Amino acid sequence: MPTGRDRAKAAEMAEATTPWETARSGRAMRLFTGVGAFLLAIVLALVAVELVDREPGGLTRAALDSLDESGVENPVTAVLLNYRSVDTWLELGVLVLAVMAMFALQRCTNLTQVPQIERGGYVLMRMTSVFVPLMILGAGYLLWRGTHAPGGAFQAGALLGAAGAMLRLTSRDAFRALNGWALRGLVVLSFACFAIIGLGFMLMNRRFLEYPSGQADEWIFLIELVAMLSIGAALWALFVGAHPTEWSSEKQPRTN
Amino acid sequence: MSETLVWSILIPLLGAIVTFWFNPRWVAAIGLAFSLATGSFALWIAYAIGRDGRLLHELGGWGAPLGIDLYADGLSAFMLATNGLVGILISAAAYLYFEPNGDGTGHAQERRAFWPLWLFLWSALNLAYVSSDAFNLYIAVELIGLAGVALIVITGRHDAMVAAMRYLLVALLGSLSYLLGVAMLYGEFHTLDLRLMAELSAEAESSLVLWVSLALISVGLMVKTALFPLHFWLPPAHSSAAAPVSALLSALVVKATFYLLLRLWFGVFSDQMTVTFGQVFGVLATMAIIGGSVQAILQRRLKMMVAYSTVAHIGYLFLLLPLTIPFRGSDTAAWNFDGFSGGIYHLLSHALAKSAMFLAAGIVIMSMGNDRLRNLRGMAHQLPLTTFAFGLAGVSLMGLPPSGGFVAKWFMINAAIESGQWWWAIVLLVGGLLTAVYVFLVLRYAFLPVHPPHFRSPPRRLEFVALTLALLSLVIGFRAVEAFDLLEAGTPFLNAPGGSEGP
Repeated sequence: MPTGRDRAKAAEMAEATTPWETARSGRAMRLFTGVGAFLLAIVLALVAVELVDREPGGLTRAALDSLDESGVENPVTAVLLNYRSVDTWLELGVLVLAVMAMFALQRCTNLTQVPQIERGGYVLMRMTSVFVPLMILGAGYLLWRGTHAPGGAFQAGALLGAAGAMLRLTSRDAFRALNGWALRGLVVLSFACFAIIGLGFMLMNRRFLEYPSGQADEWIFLIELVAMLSIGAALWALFVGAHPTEWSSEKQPRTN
Repeated sequence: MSETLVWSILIPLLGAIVTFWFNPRWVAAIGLAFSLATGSFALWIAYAIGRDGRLLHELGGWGAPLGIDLYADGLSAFMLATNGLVGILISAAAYLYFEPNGDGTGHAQERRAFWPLWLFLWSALNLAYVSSDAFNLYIAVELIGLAGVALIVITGRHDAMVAAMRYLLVALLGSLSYLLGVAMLYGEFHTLDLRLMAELSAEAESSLVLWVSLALISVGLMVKTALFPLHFWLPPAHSSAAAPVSALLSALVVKATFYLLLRLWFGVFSDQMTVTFGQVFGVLATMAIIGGSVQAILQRRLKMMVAYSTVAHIGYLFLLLPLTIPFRGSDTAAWNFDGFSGGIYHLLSHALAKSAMFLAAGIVIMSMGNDRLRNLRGMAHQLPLTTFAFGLAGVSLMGLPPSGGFVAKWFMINAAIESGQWWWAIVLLVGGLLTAVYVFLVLRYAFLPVHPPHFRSPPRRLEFVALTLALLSLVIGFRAVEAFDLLEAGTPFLNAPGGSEGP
């Protein structure tokens, strides 16, 4: 005889399940997914074939024609940091938002409480000492290269983030020493700078993020430099903060 | 003047940066100040657009197609204003909801996480309403989704985590589908600017590329708008969040992707808007209205009920599609503006009423421990203001005069009958009846003369915020003319066959 409490519990569980979880016919579901994916692939292939037939064009011509005004020699960098700089600015915002979400999940505002990882073996420790300085050097090179060839802040920042991950794995993460204010500042720095630079131009009677003529390259390099630091810091923070155990709930007092 | 569009994005964004970076103990005060600034600025922009017409700002000084344009017409202004009005009130509610307890403890983490995320979300919403670039809009949609997911988990509850994870996966799938569609549009038109695309599509022949991209974009954004049958993620996600977060997710976030669909459908894909297309969406909308309402009636928890009610009311929004697209019987080929404005007006009235309802549910949980319907006995006696707010919001959702919901339904039913599609009028009326059923279910328990065993008084000011939202959803019915005038400022229909034309 089920009691009222049992029934309430069963009702709650039924609420929590999704159509997928209740579907007993896992095989039918897989068949459905497979056939659906197959049909989608065929349709996409047809679209691709049709698009190949079109005359080539797009904005390539326009992007190359305006390259002289853009202040950089590489068309990709020109698109990312001049023609469509707002997109890049907002992509930096996505990283900031990801770090905000990580902090929300861990219910904390800094990383000083993260438990340390055990020290790695001899090979890992030695490799890290060799690789991390090289990676920092490589990041600088990629950043400089971005002005005239593929490369730039995102690649350089990724390299810095990877160096941070390596340091973390060998328990030499300097990040735990940073207090919350400094860490969050580093993560948000490039996003804020980008906005303030754009705003400055706007207050000087130009459009938002419209570089003063002839100065585009200096501003772009400044933004890329700061962006590299912030991207590296954000990736590093996400790697450290995404620690699977619930470290914050026990270490962090639930008061102000 | 056009810089105001940039400011509408920058003000909340600066607020997000400041509250995230400095994050002091009194972060809520800074957050509230930025919310007030953002909201009142958005209302002012809407007023300015209603007076002077559309605004255009070429970011970076390049101009489309090479650069990105911000562009706002009457529809954008209406959405900005909706966000501004509802956003200010939800911010006030969040300020009170996440207040420390009497002994100065509690809600500290929620407060610190909420304000940066909410201001960031607000900025992304405003961006979605003023950007005119398909890829830039993709970033806006990504930011909205990510911020929404993070806001759900700030309470740290397990069920919220599960619901948020599902929301994240679904949202990613939706935005990837949208992105694939946008890539095809770029292949077809060689531009990402919505206005240029709309001009080009008027001359372009219908092609497979266009149809596939229409399908991908529609499905991707429908998933994020939670149109039946792609709504399954919404009720757990919206009901497990903290009350102010539930309110802003249901009132504002799902509307952003709906707005994008309207922009793309009536702008870029205007040639594909056939009668069949409209009728198919009418059927989906009907399923949403009936299915969502029946599910709401079956719920035993207040917040789940309110969340399913959102599923139903998203159906009303999509009903504007068959009502706007000229039907066979009608003698004119122009878009039906009555149906369109009715649907958009429903968006505003639902935003106000639904946030009032979610806040009322939050107050109930605060003071009575949980939101089981059986537990609501004695609510009318103990929480008269909250019960009143819930009832008024219910009146607007049902569409009784003189509420905003009534005006919206009036216009939609008019459009349905004028164009000879009486069946959509029946759907609208039945939907109103079903809404009445679940609202009265709650009120029936609320008015039982029982003294609730564990009662804790909620902040009185929070009750007043919920009541203000509910009252607004009622009284906007009196000011509908201004709203409709605003919608007509700068027509949303760039390629309307036989209608007024774009710039």
